[in-house]
Amino acid sequence: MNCQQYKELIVDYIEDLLDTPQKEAFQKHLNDCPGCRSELEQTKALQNRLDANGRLAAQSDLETAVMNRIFREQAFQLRKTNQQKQSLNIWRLIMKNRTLQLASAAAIVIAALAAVYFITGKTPSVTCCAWAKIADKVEQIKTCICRAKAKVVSPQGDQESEMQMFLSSDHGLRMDTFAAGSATSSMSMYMRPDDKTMVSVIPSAKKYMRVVLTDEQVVEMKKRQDPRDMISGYMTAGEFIELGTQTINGIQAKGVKVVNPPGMQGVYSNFTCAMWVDVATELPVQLEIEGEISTGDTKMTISMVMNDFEWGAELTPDIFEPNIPPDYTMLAEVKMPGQDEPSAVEGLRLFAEITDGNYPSQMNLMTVMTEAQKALMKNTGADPNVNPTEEQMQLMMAKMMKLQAAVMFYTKLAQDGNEPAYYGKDVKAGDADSVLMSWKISDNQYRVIFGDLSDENVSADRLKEMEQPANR
Amino acid sequence: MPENDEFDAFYVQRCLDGHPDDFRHLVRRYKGPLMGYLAGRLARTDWAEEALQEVFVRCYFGLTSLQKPDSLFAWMLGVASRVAKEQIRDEQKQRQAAEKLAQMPARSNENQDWPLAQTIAKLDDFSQKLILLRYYGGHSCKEVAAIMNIPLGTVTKSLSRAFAGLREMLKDETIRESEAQL
Repeated sequence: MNCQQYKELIVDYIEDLLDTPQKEAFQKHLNDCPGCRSELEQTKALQNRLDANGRLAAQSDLETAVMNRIFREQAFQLRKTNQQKQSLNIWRLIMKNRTLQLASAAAIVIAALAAVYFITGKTPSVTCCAWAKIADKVEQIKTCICRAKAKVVSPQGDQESEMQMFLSSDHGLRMDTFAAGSATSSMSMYMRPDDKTMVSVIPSAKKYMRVVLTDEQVVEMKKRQDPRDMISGYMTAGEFIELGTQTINGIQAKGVKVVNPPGMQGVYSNFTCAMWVDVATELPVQLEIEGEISTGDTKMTISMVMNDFEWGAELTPDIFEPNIPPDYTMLAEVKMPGQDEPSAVEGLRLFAEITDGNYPSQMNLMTVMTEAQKALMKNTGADPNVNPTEEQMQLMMAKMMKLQAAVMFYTKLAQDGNEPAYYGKDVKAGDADSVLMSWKISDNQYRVIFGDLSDENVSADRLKEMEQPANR
Repeated sequence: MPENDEFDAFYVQRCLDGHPDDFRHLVRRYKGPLMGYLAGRLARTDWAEEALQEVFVRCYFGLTSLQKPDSLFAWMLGVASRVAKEQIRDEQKQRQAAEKLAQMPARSNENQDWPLAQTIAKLDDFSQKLILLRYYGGHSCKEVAAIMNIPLGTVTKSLSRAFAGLREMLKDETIRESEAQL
């Protein structure tokens, strides 16, 4: 063998991989060859350096750190999956359970009412002087009782119900709902500013639900709790159409109609309200409301007639006290979402999560609820025969409330004249360049929420550019 | 304990079967080689350690996508390479880390042989793998042959070539350093 061949065996020699004759021959060559000896020494030196550095690298005590990180991450993912599973199951259960359907419908009604009640009607700004006088007059009256008949026409079938409402400046609002022809109420809803709560009682299911309000919402509620707001909420702003004089329930009344007041945006896609006022007393005798809610392909109309007004009726505090028998159980206690940007963004985020990255196609309550429910039903696989636990109900109700926040915020913007625009139909979650929602914050400044729910303040020109179809 | 050539496949399967704690065996086996690899690329012990944790976590959660469990180490090196690149890209993070480090006392294992680690990083992939497994992983040549699924003779011959390459590069490095000092 020559030197080159021996050099190739150096690693084998150091690693003790040579057999005895090879090893002896190698050692003999080393004795005679200073070149190979030097090569061996250099290789050994390098190997020692590698060994030392390798041991140092392997010393790091990161096993525990790595395993802890893995366990943490795993626990987090598991929790997330469980939460998703749980919330999906709840929706499926609701869809299959009559009582729960009623409760979820109640939540929608409450939210719609709350939206109307809280948001509508700033200071009455009835423009026509004759109507302004009526608003002034109503303002003097602290209490009111009235009855209402409502009819909902939808692809799922028609539904009729009757309501009796009690309103008091001092105690709040109570609304009893009866199924058509029934004498006992199917649900009573109490709005109680002093307790900062809205309570719904469902006698047929022996259940009740409590919605907790923030201080701010209570202040808002107190500001608007007098009966005139039901009127002024519907009748302010928008264009008035005089309807002339007519006899209603034997009373001579003059009428006025308002179309799509800002207060109804976010709840109805189309809304008209006609008000008839007693010519003699100048107090309202009848309100006729027609609302249309379109959710993509389907349309639902709600017509309601409110009459039998008793202005200034004697109303004792106990009327506004929820009467909950001891055997009733609480369905849920949830918080009313704030009517602000963070709550709205949170609602949109939740919606996108439920629908795999979509936003509500339109910004109104019914669309938001219908589309969220559809998505959830599509994705669920729970056992519909098992009743959800208290905890699950709480979670579900809380989610429903959160989803509504965007609509409530949008409605408020519309009412405050902030010209909100919404493009959820064309925008997907994570779409950082597309405008999802925008509204005016000053003369030339607009606030923009993008598809990835990031925000920015932009000029009017910049917004126009961004809102071009190509950019959406 | 499974044989050397079945070690990786065995513990990968255990992890996939819902025994996350068994990933520990794979961490123990490859932390040295991967640390050596990352040290050569990131030139800072704390960055390399941080990257190494990230590599293992990503590998664990990516195990389902591992096609051949017997080429686990090669796959892990791929993940490490991506993590190292990301870390290098994240310049801001590096700057912040440098500022933070400047305020901290030197780490005990800051006496890492950086020229050596960086020189290893310049070797071809195959030679790198051999060196990392043999010296940073503490495996014998026979074990390296089993892990890489190659004959023992190939391991020793290739190591021999890798040594020659390393020595050559380290010599250049030393010359450059002494020139710089002059």
